[in-house]
Amino acid sequence: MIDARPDRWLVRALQLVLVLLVGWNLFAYGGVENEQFTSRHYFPKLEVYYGGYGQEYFVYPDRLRPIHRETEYNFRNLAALQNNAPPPGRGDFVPGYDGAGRMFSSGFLPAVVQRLSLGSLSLHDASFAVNVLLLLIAAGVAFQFAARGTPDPYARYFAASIVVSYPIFSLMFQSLKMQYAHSVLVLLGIYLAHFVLRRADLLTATIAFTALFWMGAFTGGGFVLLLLAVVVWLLACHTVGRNTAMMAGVTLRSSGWVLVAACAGFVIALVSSDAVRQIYDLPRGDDSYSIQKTFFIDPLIYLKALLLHLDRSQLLFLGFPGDQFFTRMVGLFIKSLWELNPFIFASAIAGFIFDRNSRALLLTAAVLFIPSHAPELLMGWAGPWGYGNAPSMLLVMVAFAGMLGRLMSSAPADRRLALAARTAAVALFACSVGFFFYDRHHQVDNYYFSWDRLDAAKHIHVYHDAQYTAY
Amino acid sequence: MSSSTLRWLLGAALGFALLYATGINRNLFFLAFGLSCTAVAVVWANSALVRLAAAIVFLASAAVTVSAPLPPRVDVQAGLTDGLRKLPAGVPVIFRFQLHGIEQHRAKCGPLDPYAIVVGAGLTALDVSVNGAAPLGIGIEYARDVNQRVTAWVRLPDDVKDAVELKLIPREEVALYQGPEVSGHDVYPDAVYLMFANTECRVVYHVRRTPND
Repeated sequence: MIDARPDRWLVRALQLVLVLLVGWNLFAYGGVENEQFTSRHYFPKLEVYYGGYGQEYFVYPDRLRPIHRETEYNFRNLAALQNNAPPPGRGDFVPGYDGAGRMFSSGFLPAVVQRLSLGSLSLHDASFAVNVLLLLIAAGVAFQFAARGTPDPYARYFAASIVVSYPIFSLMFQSLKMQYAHSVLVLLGIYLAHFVLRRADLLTATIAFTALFWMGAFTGGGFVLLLLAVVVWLLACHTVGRNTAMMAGVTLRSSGWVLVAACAGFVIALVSSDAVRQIYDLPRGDDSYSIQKTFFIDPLIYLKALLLHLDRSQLLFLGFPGDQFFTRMVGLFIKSLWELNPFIFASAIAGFIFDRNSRALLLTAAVLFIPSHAPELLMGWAGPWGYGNAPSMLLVMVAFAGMLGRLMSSAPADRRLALAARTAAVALFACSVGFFFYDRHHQVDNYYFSWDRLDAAKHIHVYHDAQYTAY
Repeated sequence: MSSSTLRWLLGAALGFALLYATGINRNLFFLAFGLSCTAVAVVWANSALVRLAAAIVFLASAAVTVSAPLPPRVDVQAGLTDGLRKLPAGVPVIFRFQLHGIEQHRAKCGPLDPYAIVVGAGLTALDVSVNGAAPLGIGIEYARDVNQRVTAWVRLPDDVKDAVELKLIPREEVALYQGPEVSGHDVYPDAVYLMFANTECRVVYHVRRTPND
């Protein structure tokens, strides 16, 4: 039994916690450029570039700031988007995940901020503003998702608080590439599809999906992942998600129309973005990887060899030779999720079994899990890369918040039982958020391919002559 | 929501089309992204005020063009060959470290293993001495990066405090990797530093080589 009447003081307390968490993130994690920091030489692993990739630096009045090799492309995209004239041509764009793939989040959004500031904000300040904005948008979507998807009045605050604590945002405040933007897009897309566009007419829904896919067309894989997410979500709703609070008023017919609108939006966005791509002579694809080869051709050859009991050691399956995808990579991806937050991971598994309302979200997260790791599979990166978890993790967080909300509101008829449930919910919430903050070095490691680089020491103190910096 | 939302969407499309038609903004990339964001905001928002604010933000940003040039760049490795700087045989190179705060760090972190770390090539031909004492033994690690760097770990006496004068004397020609490490506007080019470490803490000291070489 759920008590849907909010306890005013509890709600106030949760609001305060949310504000404090946002403030703490901005205060404590605004200053360190972790991607540069993690590749420094203070750590036992030496396979990274010495000096944080740094060769060229931007000269700011207060300091030099390193130019990463990867973010070089973003500056070119940004320059073309600062101007109202058409981009001058191919020379301004770079193909692949590093360039065109980040055009929306690392080019367009900072350009909007710079335009609105009439050019007074620097590239780094504009990017910081975008990073903070994306954090707040993600928290806002999670809040609304939980508010409309669960009957209790607390889950929304848990959802927003957990999302703002998710290090994928705060660790990247100083970064010039917002490669988690497509994760926010997936969460936003599912939310709009389920709670908003179901009630819209076909034309409105198609326009909205076209806009979403246009944003995703240039956000590093968000384009296809979003369509997959919507399709999986609709299937999950009508299978494991049946007869839940999230499905109140949802019909198979409305899901069918959402699917039609999503497919139509996908095609329109694909064709129109490709037209713009051709007008500006923007190359498609990248020589360093092939989506067709990694996801279709190689797996088919591998599966054929498997069926015929032939030698597979020289064949590739999803980017890795032999059986390595199954024997090594799947375990590594799951370990990365566990290392990110064992409390949320374990609760999600328990939730799938015991909490009917969270099953649709968790099933969608599970199906998206491997496709979300497409960059590692395409490039053959054999290490933890936290961004690959993000689309699934955001969905899991909303589901987890729903579970906490149910605990908070359960058994109103029995005070002792209700108190025990609330205590358990608060303890789980504190542990999950606390784990994100407990060891930031370990969290950084989880994003950059090694679990024992920064984690070798909890406190890092650096002196340049007498100039002291603590990390 | 439908008819009202559709009117907002069509209004936003009209606004962006006008910006293009009047020649105010001919950048299709920017216009398409701007219209997409406005459309999503219109669909997401419940109130007319939020929809209006989103439309104004993206339309206004599309109406102005800015010249916010990137900051000037500096290549801190310019003039170096393959990131390595050669040290001729027999010519000593000296680094003078002041160990700021080391006692406080020891008090807080417990015993710290002190190392001098030199990154470069041909480092087995390097004699390393500290504070004028006899040369110390060095351990060599080979990195796995594209440059196949070599790192020499030189264990320092446990009781070093206050200051360390690190003297590198090449028996044959060796080379130091050129970092660079940067703090503020200061560049610390040589990949030579001190590290005091245990499982809890890592204390790193950077200085530039003394200008007598």
